[in-house]
Amino acid sequence: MTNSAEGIAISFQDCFDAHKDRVFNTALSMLQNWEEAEEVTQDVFLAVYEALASFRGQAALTTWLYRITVNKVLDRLKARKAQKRAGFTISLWKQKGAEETVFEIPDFLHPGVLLEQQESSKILFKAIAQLPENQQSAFVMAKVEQLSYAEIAAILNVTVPAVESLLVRAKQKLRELLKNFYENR
Amino acid sequence: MENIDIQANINAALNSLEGIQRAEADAALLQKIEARIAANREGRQVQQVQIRRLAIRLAAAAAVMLVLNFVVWLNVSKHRQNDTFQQFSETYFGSQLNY
Repeated sequence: MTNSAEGIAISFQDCFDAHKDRVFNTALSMLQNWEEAEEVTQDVFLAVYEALASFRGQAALTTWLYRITVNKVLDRLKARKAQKRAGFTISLWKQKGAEETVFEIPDFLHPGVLLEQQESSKILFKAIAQLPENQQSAFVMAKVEQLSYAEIAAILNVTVPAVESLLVRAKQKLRELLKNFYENR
Repeated sequence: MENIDIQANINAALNSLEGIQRAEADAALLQKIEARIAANREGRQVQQVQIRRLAIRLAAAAAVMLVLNFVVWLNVSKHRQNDTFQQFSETYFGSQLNY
């Protein structure tokens, strides 16, 4: 990575080619929305373009990229929640809209899921969307991106036992949510 | 029996991500990002020009103020030198001082 304009451009291109799918897949799995995942991927690489010259390799490039991605996705999820809250408040004023299910999670089908597991995965993704943010990030990185605990720990800036604990709690919560879903079906 | 079914469904859902493949980003994504980088750069240039213009206007206003202050100060100091009680009396009372 050089400081010359051309050097940065080449590095950015390399970085984009090598990591675009990783960033997009993480964003897609957490946001469960194709357009938003694309927007976040654009945001991530814009941030990378701005900061690539100052990147001194304190962390692995992959870790750094995942960290930016997770932060951008969490920002997006917070904005989405705020929007839903505002929508809900408005719907309380408008009696007609109050019956609409503002918090309904739409079906999401990840394109990389095996055909025979697609129906089950739709339900799992619905449950994943209801996990607390840090559990959601850890679970997606472990199960979808198949990262090691050490890698997840570096990305989330926590210890390895903390990641283990996050994943255990995530699985417990998912079991609970899935049980409720199947019982009330 | 129902419980067993539910447990089987839960396990199937939890294991449904096994063998998952990475989703691929749109091929046109790089062009979109490059367009945004270019737009950002343009926006920043426009901002810089606007800031420069504002700075020039402020500097000009400050210079005018400085010149005006200097002129006032010159006039005041000139009057102080020339003003005598006689001139003052002539100006404001129309007649010379009569002691």
